[in-house]
Amino acid sequence: MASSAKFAQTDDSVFVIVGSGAGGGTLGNELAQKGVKVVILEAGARYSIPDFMNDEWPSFQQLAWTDPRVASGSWRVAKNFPNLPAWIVKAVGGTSIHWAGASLRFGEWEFKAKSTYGDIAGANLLDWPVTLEEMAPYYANAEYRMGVNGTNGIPHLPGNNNFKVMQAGATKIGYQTVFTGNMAINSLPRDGRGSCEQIGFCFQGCKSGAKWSTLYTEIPKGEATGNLEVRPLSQVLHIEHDSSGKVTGVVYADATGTLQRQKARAVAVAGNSLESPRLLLNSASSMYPDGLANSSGQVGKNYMRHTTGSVYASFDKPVHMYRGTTMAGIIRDESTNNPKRGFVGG
Amino acid sequence: MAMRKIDPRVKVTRRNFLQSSAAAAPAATLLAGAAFGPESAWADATTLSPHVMATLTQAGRDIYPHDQIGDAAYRKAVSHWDTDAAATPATAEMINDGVASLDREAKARFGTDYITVPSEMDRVAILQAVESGAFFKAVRADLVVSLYNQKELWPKFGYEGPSAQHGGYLHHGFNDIDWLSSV
Repeated sequence: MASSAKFAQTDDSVFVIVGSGAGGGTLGNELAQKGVKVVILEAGARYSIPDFMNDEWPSFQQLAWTDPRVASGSWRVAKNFPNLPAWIVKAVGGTSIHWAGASLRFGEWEFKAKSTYGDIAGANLLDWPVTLEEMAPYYANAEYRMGVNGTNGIPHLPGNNNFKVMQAGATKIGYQTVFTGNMAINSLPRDGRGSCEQIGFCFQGCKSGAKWSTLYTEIPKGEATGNLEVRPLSQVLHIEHDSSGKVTGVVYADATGTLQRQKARAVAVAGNSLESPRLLLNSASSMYPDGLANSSGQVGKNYMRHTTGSVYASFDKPVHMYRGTTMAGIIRDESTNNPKRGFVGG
Repeated sequence: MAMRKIDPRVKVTRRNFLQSSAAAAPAATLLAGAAFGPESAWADATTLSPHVMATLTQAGRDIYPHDQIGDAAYRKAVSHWDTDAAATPATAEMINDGVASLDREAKARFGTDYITVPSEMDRVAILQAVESGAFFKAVRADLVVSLYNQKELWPKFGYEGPSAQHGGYLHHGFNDIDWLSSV
């Protein structure tokens, strides 16, 4: 990182990005490659691959936002762990350190949720303003740069024991599209990174570096241009604007909690599903009393990350489920919108 | 070079164990005797009473029952409630009230304290009666970490440990399953 840039806080020609994860880290590299001066402000610390721990709870303490959260509603987490911190990452690389690597394209109908599903009580649906066709080149670009297996001639990962159990069951009941997924995990060495070693702690930071994360892909590439500075332990608290309503910079807390101001020509907010809306709402001003970018009134509402369901089973003979890639495979036969099943989406 | 080894999990199923051990239970109860009841393990408890700590220990086993794990692991899992109670009066009250509610249920149904209700299924029924309250939720949620994060127990659940230092499971049995008929 010797070539990494260092910009003055008074330099109002820099492009400030809040967050260094999948969105912020990638945007920072892209801008830096084009010669734009970029400062990424990251709330968390900067770790490297050897720092990752193959131990769930210490890893959670190391990487996650540990602020207590308040869960409400009818979902299981709200019942069992209402104050559990969210498993999103506060570190350089953001949640791209923690993600499984699953890299699936939306189906055509998923861009048109409102037109396809209609009005759903309790939901707040909209169609995306883009189509699959328009997004296809961007998907292709992302799949290439992340090295998604099953695309660009990259072979799929080999099936581990977990996958084989799922494959056996799925095949037995007639499913056809069963494979190890389209994962941004190297199945062969690529882009200066090695291939998957089936370690089994994908979510605690990939210790082989086979899984794509901005921490050791986009960010160092951006830094090598001399146009990108990543400032860890810098939590942005407020976005400032001038009397015309144009953004002028941000106020952030540094490692000691001291408030600092970074001037900016523009600010991109890339802080994931909780911290981005928090920052926008906390940036309310007399001109924008409901927070920034909130003319819709929807900022901070409609929170939804993944909808997941978990099923566990025990077998008479050993599976050794902890051996190998955490998200072992996928069955896509049911990935259609078929309301006859009693729900929309697929 | 495979890391494969004999499956360390106890093969007896939980239901089998309960059935086969039923006949032996009275003898075990006699051996335990009045002088060495479960409270005797908690003579060093400071803020919470030995009875409260012993009840937490039994409740821990009844919530997450593993016959291959000794009482020491359950004692270790709940021991922090004593220090938490010393630090926070509200915690002491929550735990004491919770244990009192278990004993109240136990006395109403079976005429004795929770820890001396002999049948596990009866104790589970008592727990179910209080499961919506703050006490049960706190104790159960805590056990997820305080019990299951005891590393010395992991081999008993069949976990071989982290593999990164061995180059992962890629060459150590990640795909060695051999009992699936269709594979």
